[in-house]
Amino acid sequence: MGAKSKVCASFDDAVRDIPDGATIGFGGFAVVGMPINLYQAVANQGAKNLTCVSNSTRGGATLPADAPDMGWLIRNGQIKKVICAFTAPTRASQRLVLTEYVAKGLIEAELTPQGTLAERMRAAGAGIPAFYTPAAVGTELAERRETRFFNGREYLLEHALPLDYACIRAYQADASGNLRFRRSQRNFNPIMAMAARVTVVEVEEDILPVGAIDPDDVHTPGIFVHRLVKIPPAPEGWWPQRPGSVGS
Amino acid sequence: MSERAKGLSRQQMCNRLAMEFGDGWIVNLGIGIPTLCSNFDFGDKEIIFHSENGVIGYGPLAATGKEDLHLVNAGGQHVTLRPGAAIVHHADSFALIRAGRLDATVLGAYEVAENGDFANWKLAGQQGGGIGGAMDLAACAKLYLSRWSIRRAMASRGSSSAARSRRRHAVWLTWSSPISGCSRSQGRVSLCVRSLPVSRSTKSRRLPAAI
Repeated sequence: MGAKSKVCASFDDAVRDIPDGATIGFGGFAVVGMPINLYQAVANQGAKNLTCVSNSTRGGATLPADAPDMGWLIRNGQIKKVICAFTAPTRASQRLVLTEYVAKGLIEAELTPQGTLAERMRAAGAGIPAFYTPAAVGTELAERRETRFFNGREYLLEHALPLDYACIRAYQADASGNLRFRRSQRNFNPIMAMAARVTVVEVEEDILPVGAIDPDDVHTPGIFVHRLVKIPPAPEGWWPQRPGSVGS
Repeated sequence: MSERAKGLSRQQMCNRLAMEFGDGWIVNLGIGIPTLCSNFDFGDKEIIFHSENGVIGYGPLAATGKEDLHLVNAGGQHVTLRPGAAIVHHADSFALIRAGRLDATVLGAYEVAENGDFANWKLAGQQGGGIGGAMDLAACAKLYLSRWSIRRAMASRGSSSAARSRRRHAVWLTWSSPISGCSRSQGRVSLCVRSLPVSRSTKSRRLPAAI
């Protein structure tokens, strides 16, 4: 291809220029589509004062016990703020690294309804600065915030959430950055790619030649994708583990 | 004997709810007990289960060893796809929620009020919360079905602040002021199943006549 190649030799190369203070979106839902290797790379890279956006700050049952998640970045002192749909454990038996850091006043946690979180990034990627949603109207999340009535129903004003970087995981990519996701791996990943200035993708299958993915089958066009890294087989690369092979 | 021992099991609670689903309904299942609804045998009824992470048309949990690691429901459990299933991204998944395409949503709750508001995302004294998709779902489904498991929640980890002050009351509670961890359903709660017998809401007029 004529343009500079999007294929990077390593995860570390792909995140090397993330500056302190960046806003980074990490895709994934319950480990599926979670950029485990890019969490590791951002932890290695060490950028600080990050604002991190994700559905939650922890992985799930299929994440290998010693694999990185957002908790690593928190423990590393890299994060100043998280924006998530879950900022507390969903089970009494779970503990979040986040909880301890928020309690000490070291991190700010912004709790957002999941659909609002997705739509805020979608809006950013669609050139829409703000929108109204019925979610959270009448709750403590809407206190002291602007609402407006449309057709007799109250809606809450929400602002777009643009990202500096998106770290996502895809099933297939061609060298021009066209992506395909598999099953529920799609989740936040295409939205974050569109919301971000720079999108970094860890790819499960071998990166295909340009044109190998039929245009009709592309989920995220390569124009939204800047860097691709093929995930090496375990143990060099991080992959979800089968249920039962890890503790939950 | 504990009250829980006399009550319904988790699967029984979901089976009871699942009996309410009509043929052809699009039903969202939330994290926790509600996801068990997709295990129910619906016979000739065709139910399209939706999961907030963009899965439309899933079925029972995958058998052990047959899990597809790319496919989970709202609770992160590995499920199976039914013929005709489709996948969308998160923004489209919630677009269909907000646009009122769901016939019903089943959510877990600590406590449900008579007016349909419910406490489901924060416990007393807790930092942060776990809203997930519940607020979007509560505001937008045509019909909202809840399971009421405050007894289980209290036994395991204390209670929501609202529940603590009203723990001696029966399943239908009335309050008008916002409570901690409240999601507003704007009167959409129609049926509430707890581990003890089923109660219908004052809003049950919202149920289709067939039920």
